[in-house]
Amino acid sequence: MTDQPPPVVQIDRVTKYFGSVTAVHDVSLDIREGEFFSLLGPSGCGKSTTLRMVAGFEEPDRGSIAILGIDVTDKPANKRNANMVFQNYELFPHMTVHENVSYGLKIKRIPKGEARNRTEAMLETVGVGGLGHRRASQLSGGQQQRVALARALVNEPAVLLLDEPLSALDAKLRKRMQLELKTIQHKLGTTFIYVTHDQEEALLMSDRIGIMSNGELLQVGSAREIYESPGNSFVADFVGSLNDFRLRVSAVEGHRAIARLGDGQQVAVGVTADTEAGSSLRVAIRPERVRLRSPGDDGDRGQRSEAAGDAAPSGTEDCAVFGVVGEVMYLGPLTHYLVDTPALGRLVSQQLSERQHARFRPGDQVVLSWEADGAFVLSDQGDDDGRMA
Amino acid sequence: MSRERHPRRRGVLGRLTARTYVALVIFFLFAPLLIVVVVSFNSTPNMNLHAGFSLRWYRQIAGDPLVVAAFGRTALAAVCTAVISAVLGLSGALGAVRLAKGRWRTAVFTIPLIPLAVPALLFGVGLATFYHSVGVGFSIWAVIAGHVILALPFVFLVMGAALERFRFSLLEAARDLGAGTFTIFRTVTMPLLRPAVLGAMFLSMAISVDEFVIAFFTAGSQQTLPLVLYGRINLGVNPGLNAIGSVLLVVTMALAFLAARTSVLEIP
Repeated sequence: MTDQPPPVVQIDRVTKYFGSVTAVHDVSLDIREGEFFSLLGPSGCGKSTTLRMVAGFEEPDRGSIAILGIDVTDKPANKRNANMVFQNYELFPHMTVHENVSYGLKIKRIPKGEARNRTEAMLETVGVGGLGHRRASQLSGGQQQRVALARALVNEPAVLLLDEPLSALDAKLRKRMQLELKTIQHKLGTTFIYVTHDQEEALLMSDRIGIMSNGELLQVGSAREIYESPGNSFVADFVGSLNDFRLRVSAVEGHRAIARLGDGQQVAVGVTADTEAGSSLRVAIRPERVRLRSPGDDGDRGQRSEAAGDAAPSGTEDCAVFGVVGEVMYLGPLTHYLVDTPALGRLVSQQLSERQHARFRPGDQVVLSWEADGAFVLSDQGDDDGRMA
Repeated sequence: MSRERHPRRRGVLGRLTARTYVALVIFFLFAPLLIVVVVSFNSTPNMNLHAGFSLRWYRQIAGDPLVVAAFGRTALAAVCTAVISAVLGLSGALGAVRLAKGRWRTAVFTIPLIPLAVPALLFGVGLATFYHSVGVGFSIWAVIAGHVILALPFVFLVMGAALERFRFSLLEAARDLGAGTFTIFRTVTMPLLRPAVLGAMFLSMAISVDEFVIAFFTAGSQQTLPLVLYGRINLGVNPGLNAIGSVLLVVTMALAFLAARTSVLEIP
């Protein structure tokens, strides 16, 4: 870890006000070379403002920004080694595709021949080779997107800034562009900072994700870290759907708190050392972690069989509660079961859809089970933010 | 069936009324103009409509140093008015669009239009008095200053409409790609606004070329073409005046046509 390359972008305790509104509050962030970093958050959380401060379109009220170790806080956008892909592309309508893409090179006085070669190579890379003579207005949304990408990348910036670049595309094209963006980024090795409000997009593409809410950077981590160990309830809720409930701790065994809910039902969850028996915890479990079985079944067919031979929930399962299926929602590849449990209220279990028909129907008695390490405790801190957003 | 026939009959009547209306407008608008032009080609000094065809009156005015000088001054005034009002109007509208926020918006967009509501006669008298009191002599330059003020509201309107649709984020894109303020203006702002600027310039020229009142009060001895025409009418009528009028007519209509063309062809 010591011989890590220096960060490409250093955002150091940056704060930005718009009038009396704090758009960005005390954000510090290092972007590493070659990584695909996403700033994720709901609209108005300050992610775009943060990006625009890196680009040089907004000036921070406090703090500093450095690109490749050079402080650029006071430099205008045209003097920064960063290029932006705008939400609405902002291609110059009076220029051809080729003129658009070579605009930056022309300003940098790159010799004509070299500029032409680089432009054509980049158009090829992003998949619109041969469209150079067209006008921007003659292109489809997806093509405009690619040209906008080429226009920024051809300058070989230290960091490419992308402000929700796919939000104007339809769902199918968006999915394809997500993969292509990732491929292009991989191929060129350029550092990307990607702003989005779409958690799936961020999880899919990013090496690391920073979650923002109300101007604050709440958590930075890999997609897996963010999804599986969210730092607070806002992050947990924003990056995926969530079952959450309150528990009174019956016993603490090492780093694990256990709540016994009667009739052999129990829930366990990993906790920090300072949790005591009798305290109250907010616990969350993702729907895809919750398994379902019939009370008579011996564990889950074809999934896990650690509870073999036991009809009722028992101590051999980390977490098991009784419930009655309320609704079954078919979503194509997935099916959501909404299960009412006397102990924990309504829980959602997400299953791969069965081939023939739903495995459980509304009214069926079921046992919900999951492993303790799939669940996590939600800190109450930051909870208010989460509810407001 | 009857339900369909009813509105159709009304449609015929409506179309007939509309066509009559348009025909009347065109007739009363263009018939006098047409007569002016036709008579300017008369071969005799008469003002009747059935004289022979000749270009003698055009030859006559072309050989008249007073008319030629006035024509030159009119052209000078038109060009200067167009350039000055385009520069002022564009920068004014650019500033207005950026400054106009909240409750100042109405003021910012209304104040530049006030000259439209001022009677030209009053403005001409006022301008003449003003020039006199500050000791600026009457000349073609005094006329140009007045014409600029007349043309500015129109330029402001044309430019304002163009800027309403202008995507200022394009300027950000250019800056992001390394362009400085002047380069951005030269490579993005100006090319995109060129149709509106040209349209506004043609419009200002059309306004200046046939403007009479302000020229009357402030030109002094440096008369423009409309003033010469007016002066000659007092000395008696002949087809030579029609020739001057026809030149004015063709020039203004060509300018107005160009103004309309460029504005229509604006990049969306």
